[in-house]
Order: sequence, then structure tokens, then C-alpha cells
Amino acid sequence: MNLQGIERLQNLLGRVERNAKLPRTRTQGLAAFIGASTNGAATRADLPPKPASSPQTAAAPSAAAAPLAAPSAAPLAPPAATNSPLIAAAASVANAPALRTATSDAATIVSTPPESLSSDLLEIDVAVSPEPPPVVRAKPVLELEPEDIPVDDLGLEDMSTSEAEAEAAFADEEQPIEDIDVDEIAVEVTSAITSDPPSALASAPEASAPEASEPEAAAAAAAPSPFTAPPALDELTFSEPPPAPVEVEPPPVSAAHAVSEPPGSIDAAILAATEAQANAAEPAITPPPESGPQVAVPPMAAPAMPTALGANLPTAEQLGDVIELEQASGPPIELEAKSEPASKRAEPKPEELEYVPEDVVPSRPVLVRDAAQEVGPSADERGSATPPAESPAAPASDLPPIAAESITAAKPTSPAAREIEFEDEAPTASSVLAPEVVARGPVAATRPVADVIAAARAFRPQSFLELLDASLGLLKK
Amino acid sequence: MSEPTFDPAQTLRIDLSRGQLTLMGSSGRLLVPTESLAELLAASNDEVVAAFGAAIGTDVGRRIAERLGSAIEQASIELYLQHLGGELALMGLGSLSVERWGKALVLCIEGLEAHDALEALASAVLGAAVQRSLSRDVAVVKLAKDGGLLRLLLVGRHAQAQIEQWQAAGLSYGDVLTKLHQSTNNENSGARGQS
Repeated sequence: MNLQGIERLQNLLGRVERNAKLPRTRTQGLAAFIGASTNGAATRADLPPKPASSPQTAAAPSAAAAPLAAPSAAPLAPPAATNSPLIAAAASVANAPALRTATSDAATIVSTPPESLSSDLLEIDVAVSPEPPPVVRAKPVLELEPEDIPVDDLGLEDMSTSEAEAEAAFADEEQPIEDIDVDEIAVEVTSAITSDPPSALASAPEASAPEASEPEAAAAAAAPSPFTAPPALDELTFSEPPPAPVEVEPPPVSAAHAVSEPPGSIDAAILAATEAQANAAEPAITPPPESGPQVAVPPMAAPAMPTALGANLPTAEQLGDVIELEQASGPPIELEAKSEPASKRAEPKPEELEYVPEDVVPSRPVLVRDAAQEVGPSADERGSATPPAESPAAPASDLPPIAAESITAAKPTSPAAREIEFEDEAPTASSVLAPEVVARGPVAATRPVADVIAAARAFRPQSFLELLDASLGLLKK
Repeated sequence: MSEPTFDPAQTLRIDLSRGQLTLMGSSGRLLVPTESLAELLAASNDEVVAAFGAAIGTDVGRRIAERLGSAIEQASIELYLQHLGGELALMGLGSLSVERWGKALVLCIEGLEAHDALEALASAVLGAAVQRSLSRDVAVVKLAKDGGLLRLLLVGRHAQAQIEQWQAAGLSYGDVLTKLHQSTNNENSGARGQS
């Protein structure tokens, strides 16, 4: 059952409830109208008499019904065999226990409280009259003389627009309402939850939504065909041939909700589907409250820490194509230790940087030395003691680390670069990249830095004498 | 206090019965043709012309000082020019205006007939009038006469010789004035440097 059907039912329920709150006269008239519209037999003249408890409200409808009842005094014929929940609901609400006696000729209705109306609609057992009552054309309400009927008692202003229009349409209808046999109406069932055996599924005709307001279409149908339950939803196939009939276990349906007759209209089918959905198995996502506490599902276990070195080795798929490198050939590379003078060896002196020739691609930044501040060996000695040229491709890890932690600032004697001395300490990250400091020389203050030039002051003589004096002062020594 | 303006009304009186001209109550005046006076001055030497003009200018200065009184020192250029130019106009020596070239005071006379003797006479009159009224030793140097406009520079005695040298060198009055100021600045900067 889809949500649309449920919404329709809810709307109908709301209307029924609203109608229940209306005065009895209105509800009675509505019930009578609904009954007459379905079987074409009821007329306004057949409206049941009003109870004595509401004389005012009953006076108007009764007065209105009086002229209408003149043509025919036929009793109110029970509605045709219809299982419309709307009609049944309206009838059940209208026919309250206090009014049961007045509507004794109406359909036999099982009394149910309005609260459970939606679930008890299927309980309504409608008796089918054997003979359709004659159709009597009722006079419109507007033909009543307003003088005889109080305006307040007419209840016309209380009637809803839909009801007034329906009544007017009913009154203006000239052709008699033909009896509609429910069995002749083909019903399109959208739900496969039925209580009928699957044998009737093979003969299920192509259903089409019937319309109660189209009696001509129903009448034009051929000989009434027996109703066959639609196939189950699971068994409906569009491309494959229909499977062999398989006995399907009927869904669990309570006895109170049992449907005595197959649904004869779309409304009944909707009701059946709604009921089936209500009794359907509870969703797996939300367990019923009576199921008790659920066992907590343990969260996904975190990846275990590698206990061994090769505990979580990547798989071959993760690695992909692995190319193994060839082992290095040749003897291991060794570096010769520099021969330092004895004076330097006695004291812990900072490690000096070796001069790297230009033709050798240095693997580290080159530091410029100032020849005037050399402490260690001279340039010639360094040049002769140059270690063998290392391959440019030698890895950095094979070179001795630079033991440079502190950088002594060069004296500001000349703007040239000076040698940076490193103390013999443990190498650190900052000493690896030692900056080159270049100090700026002093500026000779031969002239004043700033020479303020006064701006020419404009001469504005205020008097003739001032101007004369200024003119007389020209070239005055 | 409002400044005393020049009122030429009733300043020149002609007594036909007595056949005398008086100017602002001063001694009688002689009404002579300008050309005749110019020829007479041309026939005289420069000293005589200068003395003749100085006498006239002194009288003018006196009258200006009497009209302005103590406010002559704070008198604006326009006010002094009004009085000095009025006196000059009453004598028939043209219309007077003032030009300021930096610090240089240049008096311009317009409408004076083109005659050197008359220009010398006008220069002498103005010099004496300024000297008499403002108690300043003023030297008047003819800068130029262009289109009937006579420009006379009022400088000190010490600068007159230098300016005449520059004019003799062919410098225009604009260049003279520019050079006059440059020399003044140089001398001033040199004096500050020495100090």
C-alpha cells in the first residue's frame, strides 16, 4: 500500500470526524445523500424524521423534507451493496446510538467508536436491497418558501460548499441513477496482500479504477464476471511468463480484520492494503520496544599495532610492481682523515671547512673565507692537503657532519666576507646550514647628514613704506 | 579710524580777478605749456632739472604728509599711491601706478609726453616727494619707457651706480631687476656664511 492511499484514508477519516461533530440533522441528510448517490434510490424525501431532542434544528430539515416527500413516501431504501468505507463511515457516525432507531431501515452497521473508525471500516456489513427503489426527483432546496422556515433552522448557511454543490447536482440530475452492481466493477488492486487463494490470480482481469459517478461505463460492461483476486505482488512479472501457481500462505490477519468478501472497489482495496501494512512485519531498522535491549555491536576493531617488524607488511597488491635494485659493486667508500697540526690538536678548535675546488660540484653550500683571518693552515697547505675528489653522486650521509654550532661575528673592518669559525660541538640542525654574514662598513661623517634648505618666504609688504624700505635695501651692503 | 583719502575737490583755484592759480592753498601756480617747459628743461643741465623737480616734489611730499598725518607709515600702498598720484595728476605729470618686482619698488607714469627733460623732472618730483613724506633717502632710476609707460625704480643711493652700470651693459629692466635681487641674495648668503 502506498502513502497516497493512506493519506486518502486519513482525509476521509477527518471528514467523518468533522461530520460527526455536526448537528444530527446535517449528518442525517449527508448520510441519506451519500446513500442515495450510490444506489440512486434514496431521495431527500426519504430522509428520516428528526428526533424530538432538537426541534429547532430538526424543524428546518423536516420542513424542507416535507415538500420533497410529497411525491413519494417510499421508505428510505438501504444503500446498494457497496463497501465504500466513506459511506460506511459516514453512516456509522451519523447513526449514533441515539439515532439508531431512526435509521433502522438504513444499512446495518456495526456500531464502532469513532476512534477506531479507520481500522473498523471493514467490519461494516452492508445489506443489499433486492429491489432498487424508484427514483424520485427531489425539489431543490431553493424552492422552499423562506417564510415558513426560519433562516436559522434551514441550516443552509451551515452546509459546506461541497455538500451544497453535491445536493444541487443531485437535485438537478434528470436521469435516474442506475443501480450499480459492485460485482461488475473491475477493481485494480495494487497490493498483493489478499486472503484469496492464488488460483484466482490467473483470471484476474486488467483492473481499471472504477468511478461511482460513471454508471454508464459500468452498465456497458459485459456480463458480470466473477471477481478474482489479483496476483500477489511478488508473483507479478512483466517479461517472464507467469509462474506456476504456488500456494501462498495468507498473511497474518486478525479475526477482527478479516474481510468477509473480496474488495469490490478501489476504496476497499486501499483499506485492505492499509490493514495489511499495519500488520506487516516491523521494520528491521527499528526494533519493537518489546524486543528488549539490543546487543551492542562491537565497533570495528582497530588495526593491530605491528608487534613484529614484519607483522603488517604490505601485500603484493599494495606494493604493485616492485623493482629490486642491484647491490652496489666495488669496495666501500672510505674517507681519509685530515692531518691536523699539533697546535690545533692540543686544544679543541673549531672544525675548519675544507676548500672545495670549483670543478667539483659541491654537495653543500660553499663558504667564502677571508684570507686575512686565517688561523689554520694556509691556502697552499689546504690546497695540497685537498682530499681526493669525491664523486658528486656520493650520498650526503657518507660525508662527515659539520660541527658548527656558534658563528663568530666578523669584525667590521671591510665589507668583504669573513671566515666563519665553528666550535667543536655536537652538530645540530641549525649548524648544518650556516648563514654567511656580511657586515656593512662605517660611513664617514664628513658633512652633515641633513642640510636643511629654507624655503623662500614670500615678500608681502603691508605698507608703502615697507615696500620702499625693501626696495631701498636692495644691494645694500 | 578711516584712512584720509585724496580729495581733489577745490584743490586748484583760479582767481580770474586777481589772475592767480592756487593749489590746495599753497602759493600761486603758473600754467605753462608742457612742450615749452620741456624745451626749457632740455636747455638746462641735469642738476638744474633735478633741483627744479626736487623743489616741486618736496612741496608734494609735504602736502601728502599733512593729509595722512601719523598714519603715513602704516598707509597701504594703495592709499599712498592715491595721494601721490593725485598730486602728480594735478601738476599735469601723468597718471601714477606702482609695480612690485620682488622687493623692488617701481613707479610707473603713464601719459607723460615723451621728452627726456620731462622724464627727468618727473623722476626728481617723485624722489623728492617720497623723501619728504616718508623721510627716506631715495634714488630714482629710470628703468625703461615702453609704449608711453615710464618705469622708475626706487632704490638706495648705493645701488644706483650699479644699476646704471648694468643698464649701460645693455641689460633690460627685467634683467636688471633680476640681477639686482640675485646680487642681493648672494651678498646676504655671503654675509651669513662669514658670520
